[in-house]
Amino acid sequence: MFGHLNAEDFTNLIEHAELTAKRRAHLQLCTRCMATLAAVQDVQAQMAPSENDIPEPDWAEFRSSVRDAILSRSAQRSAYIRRWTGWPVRPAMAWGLSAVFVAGLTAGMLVWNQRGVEPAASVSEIETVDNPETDAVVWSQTDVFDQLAQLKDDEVEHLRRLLEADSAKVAPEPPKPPKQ
Amino acid sequence: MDSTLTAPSTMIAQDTDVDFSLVERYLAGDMTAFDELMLRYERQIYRVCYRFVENRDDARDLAQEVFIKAFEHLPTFRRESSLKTWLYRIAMNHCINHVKKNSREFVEVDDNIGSTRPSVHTEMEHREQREQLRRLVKRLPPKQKAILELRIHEQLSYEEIAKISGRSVSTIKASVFFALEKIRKLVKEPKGRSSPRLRPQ
Repeated sequence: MFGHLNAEDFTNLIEHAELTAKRRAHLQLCTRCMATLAAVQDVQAQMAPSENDIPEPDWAEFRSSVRDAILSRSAQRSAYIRRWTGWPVRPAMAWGLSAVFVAGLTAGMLVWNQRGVEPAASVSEIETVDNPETDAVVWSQTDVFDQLAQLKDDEVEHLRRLLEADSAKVAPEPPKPPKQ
Repeated sequence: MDSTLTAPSTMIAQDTDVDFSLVERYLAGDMTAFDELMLRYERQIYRVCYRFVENRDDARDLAQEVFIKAFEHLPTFRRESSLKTWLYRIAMNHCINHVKKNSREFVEVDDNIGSTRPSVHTEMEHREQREQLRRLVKRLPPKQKAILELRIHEQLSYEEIAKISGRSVSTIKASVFFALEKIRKLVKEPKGRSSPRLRPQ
């Protein structure tokens, strides 16, 4: 035995479609399914299409309204696109781009000039590294020759001594006389 | 299977071919194709809209909006379904949204429903019954109402409705049954008054 008819079965019956033999047998025996089917068929029959109930508009006017709306929207869209890319905006865009170019050029030149008049680094920027092994002098990024030119006498003397001491360390030993 | 359940496939294919060629012509700038497309579908779409709003002016406005939307999006129509299905889908969604936005349109069934006043003229009586049913249909959820309208009034096949609403044929069939069942229950609803006469004619 199986259950009652489902919604799809009822719709198929309303539409006069075929049911399986088992389903049809059930329907013939089941008063509940019979009652449901009769009631739903009743409602469906009374809902039959009734064209006359619907008042129709003026179709020519209807069509022309749709056409006008589509054309006006299309015109608006193309005008919008033209507004941002077309000839009316090109002189303004040219002026704007020129202004940006001039401003950029001016700013670049100002920056360049400021870098040119920047004061040279003082000797204090020369950092000595207390490295016991090398006692090397580490120079900053400033121009070495500019720095040397600006050294005071005592600084020059100190630097000379440092360089001499350093060169004495790395100087090669005098060659030994060949053995006879 | 009954012919009301599935539309003849050859006719559908011919219609689809004609529609596609009209679409091509319209997209190529031929405005006569626009008129032909409108002539083919304006009544059907208007009727669907009318069933939702029950008012000529509102239905006309809704149908015009549907066509404007459809023609604007025609370049994106991918031809995976027929133009008819596509238009109905736009119409159905547009109408459902409209009803949701203006939910006050779900008016209660008016007091005259269920009147047992004997009617003299049979035609008037039938009209009254149809009017009562129409009001009851308004109380269905929008999607269920749309499916019922497409099946009963537009007489679309279950396959077509399934394509329009993006559901299976079984779901559509069940939905039609549940809608009819709900209306039957509403008719029986006492509401302190007797129910409208819905006897077999």
